[in-house]
Amino acid sequence: MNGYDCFMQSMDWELRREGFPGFLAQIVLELEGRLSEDALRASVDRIVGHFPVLRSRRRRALPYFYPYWSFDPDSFATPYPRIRTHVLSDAKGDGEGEATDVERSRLHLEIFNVPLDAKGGELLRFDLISRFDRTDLVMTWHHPLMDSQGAEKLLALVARPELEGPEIWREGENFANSYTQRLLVKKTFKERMAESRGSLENVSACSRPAPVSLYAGRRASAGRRQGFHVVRFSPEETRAIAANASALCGALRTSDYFLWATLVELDRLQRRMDVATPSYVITLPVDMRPKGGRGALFSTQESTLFYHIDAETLADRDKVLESLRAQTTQAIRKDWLRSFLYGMEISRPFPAWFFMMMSRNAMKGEIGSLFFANIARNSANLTEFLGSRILDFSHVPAVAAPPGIGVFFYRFGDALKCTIVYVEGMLSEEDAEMFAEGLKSLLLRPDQAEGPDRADSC
Amino acid sequence: MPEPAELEAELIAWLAREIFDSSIELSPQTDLLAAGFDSMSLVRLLVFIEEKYGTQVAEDEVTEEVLRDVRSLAPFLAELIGSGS
Repeated sequence: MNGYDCFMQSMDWELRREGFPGFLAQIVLELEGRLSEDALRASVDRIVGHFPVLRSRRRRALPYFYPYWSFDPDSFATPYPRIRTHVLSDAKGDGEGEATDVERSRLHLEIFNVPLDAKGGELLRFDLISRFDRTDLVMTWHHPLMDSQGAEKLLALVARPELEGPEIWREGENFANSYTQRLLVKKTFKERMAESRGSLENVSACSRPAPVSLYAGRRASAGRRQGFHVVRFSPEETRAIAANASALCGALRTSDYFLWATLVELDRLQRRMDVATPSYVITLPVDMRPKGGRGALFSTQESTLFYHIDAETLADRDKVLESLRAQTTQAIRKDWLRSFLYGMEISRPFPAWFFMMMSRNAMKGEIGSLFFANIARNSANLTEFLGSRILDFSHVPAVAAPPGIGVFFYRFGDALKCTIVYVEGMLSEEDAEMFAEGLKSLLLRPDQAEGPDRADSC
Repeated sequence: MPEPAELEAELIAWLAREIFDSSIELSPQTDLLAAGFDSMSLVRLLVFIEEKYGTQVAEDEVTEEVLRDVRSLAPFLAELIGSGS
């Protein structure tokens, strides 16, 4: 496991400590027609046979105590990955539309909150939800195993039953070409400490003044489950948003535009919830794979940028966008992406609780205000799964608490999508919907946010 | 001011080394965006230009048209470098 995997593992530990199911992530497909469990099982077994890591357990060993995935002889006997089929009441064509939608949403939420037995070797799980003329496929994975791009690639392998052995290997590079081999020169501990200093100092600087997350402010009402809300944009809305982003932020800078809108809406939400904060810190994962290639499938191949915005600044859109741009440029100029990875690598021998303690200390008790990602395009370009047309595609990753809220943008075909994940109880469904509608409205009409009224607290 | 052809070669070498996978055969006509060039790639490119030539290029001056391929990008950057922006 590389350093970033260890960071993800520490977030899994933190979530379990807080009573949540753990740090898992999902891709949800809506498929045309019915997909049989047998067909899925055959394809999954074929892929798992090539990648034994999918049934492995995490171990540590002397002399350095670095964690690694271990496939033991026992691993053959595990029942993992499990495939479960759920049949909705309209599966025989006699259900009522609205009731079925409610039933389907509830089931998705339940599945999202079922933990994986990662210690026992369960790193992957599939759920099929059979409806009258559709099937929902939910792939859930232990997030420390792979990032969202890796998961999309794995799902793409399962989706294609025609792939043979060498093709599977060719399409799905395993741990080769990992960022540790490409980007980090082997150095002594002292040298790695020196390399990591820049980004870690930036993380500390971001916490001055320290942000107060929604989770910290609403901890008493926060439950131990996570909910999610998916926002769908039509192709026309997607084009309009892309044009707005280009006009305000320049070519390609959609992340800045999404970040700005997310910050404004988060500020509105926190003020509605009476959770005052002097500043916001948002993390942005950056894929470190070389562009255009396959890249490593397993093992997180990301680094992280940290953005700090004073709450008072949010009233001025141009100032926020300029600040985001300046912070990105500074991070690249000072090579903080690579510096951060050195920091992660230093932490590998430490247990998860220690790693998380260090992270919380650096951020004065918080980990950030909100998790954010702009996954951009569906990297695997999935349009069919085992012969069934894919009608919809969603990313649903759990978020660490604190901060207990995450906003993830991605694309399916020519449509932009956004998943908002939140701790139940900390926010109600209505709060999450209001946040989502506000975000959508702002992205489409950025001029309506001429300064959030900071005097107007609910 | 670097000649566009010279800058073109320099850009291709840099892109091959810093941005793209070795499986991508870069040419002056390679569609950069289709090959995966993204916003972070753009920031890295502009930092490279600034460090190499001492020229700051404002991001909002770089359009998708300019980023179509290296053949479009090189003369655009060469002109800015030459004017000492």
